[in-house]
Amino acid sequence: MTDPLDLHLSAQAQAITDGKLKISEVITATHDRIQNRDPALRAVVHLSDSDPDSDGPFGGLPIGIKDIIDVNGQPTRCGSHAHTGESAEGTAIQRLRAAGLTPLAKLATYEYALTGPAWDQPNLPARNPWNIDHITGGSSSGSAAAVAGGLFRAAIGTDTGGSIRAPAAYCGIVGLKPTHGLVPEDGCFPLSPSLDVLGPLAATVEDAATVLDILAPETRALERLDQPIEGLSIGYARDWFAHDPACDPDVLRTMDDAAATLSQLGAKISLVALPQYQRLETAGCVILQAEAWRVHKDRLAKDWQSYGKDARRNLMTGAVLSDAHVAKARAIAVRFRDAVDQLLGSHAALLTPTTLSPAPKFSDFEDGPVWTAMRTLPFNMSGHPAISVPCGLARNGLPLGAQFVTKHHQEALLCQIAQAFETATVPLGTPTGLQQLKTKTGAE
Amino acid sequence: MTADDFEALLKQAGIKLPPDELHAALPAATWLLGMADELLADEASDD
Repeated sequence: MTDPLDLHLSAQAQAITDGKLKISEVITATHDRIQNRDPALRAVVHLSDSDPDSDGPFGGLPIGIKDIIDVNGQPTRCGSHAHTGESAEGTAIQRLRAAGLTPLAKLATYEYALTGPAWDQPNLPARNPWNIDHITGGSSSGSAAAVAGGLFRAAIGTDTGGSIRAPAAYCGIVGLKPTHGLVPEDGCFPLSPSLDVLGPLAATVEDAATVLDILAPETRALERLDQPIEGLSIGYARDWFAHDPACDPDVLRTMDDAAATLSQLGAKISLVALPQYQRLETAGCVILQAEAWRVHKDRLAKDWQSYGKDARRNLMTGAVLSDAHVAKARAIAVRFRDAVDQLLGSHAALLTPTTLSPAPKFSDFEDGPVWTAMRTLPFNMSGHPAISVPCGLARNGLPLGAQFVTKHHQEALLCQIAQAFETATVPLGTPTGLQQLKTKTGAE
Repeated sequence: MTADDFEALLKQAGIKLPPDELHAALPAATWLLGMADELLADEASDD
């Protein structure tokens, strides 16, 4: 018999409505899982002991929240010794509560959603449930570890350059970055406001769609699930990554398999060309660092020593950027948005990998931050919705993710395509690291 | 960009770093500035 915690959120809610499951049983079972698994996963940084918000249709079911988002009665640390104080929770958390989802835990984040993993934050970095010697990716590190580790069916994260999608890919779960501006950002500490997006990480596309429909009711993503994708045109941006020296051969293999799977589902796959990637990443970094500098410079002036060393050195880079740099970067972003819109005029969606490798080892970061190749940041620059869905395992047993992109505000179509792909793909199964967790809870 | 240049930029924002911290932060800032300058030059040739 399936453990109730491993049912979709909607199935758990139905079981509560039907009287087959009590919310108190779910909360107790969630606490038990956290107690058993989190000492090794290190996903949870604060656990609430308040009563569940059981009035809405989801009956009080638990959800995890990235610790840069304020939740009433719970501390917000932003993964930093520099951050103190609480603010009032914002619209997104209020919508979750109104639907009957309980923000039960605050989940680990890279410091101020910036760079990681780091060992000088208030909490040690979250670990990948597929192999705890590997990172989760970030910055929604705890959200990904908690969902992949079975602590929550869904968690809320933020995505400025891939911080929902990349950890979702590394941890073998679904990560959905909605259209920029769709989900209200109030109550969330900003990193780069023109790029920041709040959205769900979830065990399945259905769970992600469920949460998105709560965060942005106008989306109505659930209504499009379980519909065929036969006849839809999907542009496969193969040349955007296949010749990158950083591309792991397993990524190319699984992405070609993904295109084949979509074709078997009746989608029309064609190769498409996107603008040169490296220039986009540079432009995105300029925008992100310039905006993050504006957010943090007064805090740094008062107390730079309280920031972790990687975070403060990252933030201070923004001081060197001029208005001319930022204006050029924004012009590149606009041109990229136009190029994507043009492709999406003749294709329902685009297909790319989320990351170009599986999750690196913690040991790779011992001497400082390491650049990891992804294909996420340009879609923050363009504002398009994007979703990462598991597409297979690398030879080292770690998950990889395929990324789909649709027009602005077409999250329902995005979920339809992603779920069709998910359903046609062999499930990854239980994270192999969960066996490791039972025997190994020490340092990396 | 020299360490003095970087120090001056940070001081404009009211940030005073000891020399060891300044030099630790300098490589990433220099790298970003170089990339951003390349972008400017590249973009100029596009326009």
